[in-house]
Amino acid sequence: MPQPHQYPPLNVRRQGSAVIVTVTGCGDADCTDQIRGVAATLVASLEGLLVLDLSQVRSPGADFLGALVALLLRVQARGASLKLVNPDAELRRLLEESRLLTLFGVYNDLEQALAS
Amino acid sequence: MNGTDAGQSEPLTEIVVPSKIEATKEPEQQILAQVARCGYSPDAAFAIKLALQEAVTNAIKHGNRNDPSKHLTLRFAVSPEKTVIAVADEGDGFHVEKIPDPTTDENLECPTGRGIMLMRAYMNRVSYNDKGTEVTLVKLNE
Repeated sequence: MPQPHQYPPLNVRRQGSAVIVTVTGCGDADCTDQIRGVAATLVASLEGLLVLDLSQVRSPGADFLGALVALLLRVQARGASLKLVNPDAELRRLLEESRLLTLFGVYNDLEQALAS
Repeated sequence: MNGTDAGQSEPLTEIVVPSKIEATKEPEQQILAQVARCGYSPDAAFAIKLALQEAVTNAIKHGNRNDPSKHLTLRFAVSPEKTVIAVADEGDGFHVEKIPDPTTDENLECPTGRGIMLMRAYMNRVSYNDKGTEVTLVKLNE
């Protein structure tokens, strides 16, 4: 019998009604697993705003982008919202090239994301 | 093992690895070390790394359908002028023109299908063999 997938530990904190997750990792698989972990463990109880701090994400790829989109759809289905904070230049270009900046709110820092 | 590729004048180094991501890391490092030695910009080196990883991921997941008993064949040549990388799988192939464009409004919310688009965005040329089992990536050192 297959074992349930073990997601990596998540760095989660709360500020008011917002849930803030600092995503870390290097490489597409590593980073993607964390996003899927957020979707699997946090979205069901989400109320309001989910913020992903992406400042420590390195070298993501197409799977990571796909996981972000899947997470966004789940968050929106709950009537909540998702904001992305501080992606590095490489990730920002990935988001631009894939036109995903039209779907996501991307902010330079956490304060800006929480205030908007 | 060295060989040549149609339309590619320089000899290509060929490496065959099991169809697992971890098995592709050594050839990836070998290619990226040559890219660094040839003086490519950091942006170009990032583009080559990203496109290679997408090509390998597609070959393992969609070509070889995550079957670790299958193999990938990587052929590459890195020169100060350009980098050529070909990634072949043992799958049934596909028609690239049938893959939907993930950047159109109707596909933007689709969670999959961005690998080919990223390869095209970051490389100078991306082409497939007729069967759709081998992708060739070209990056010029501009």
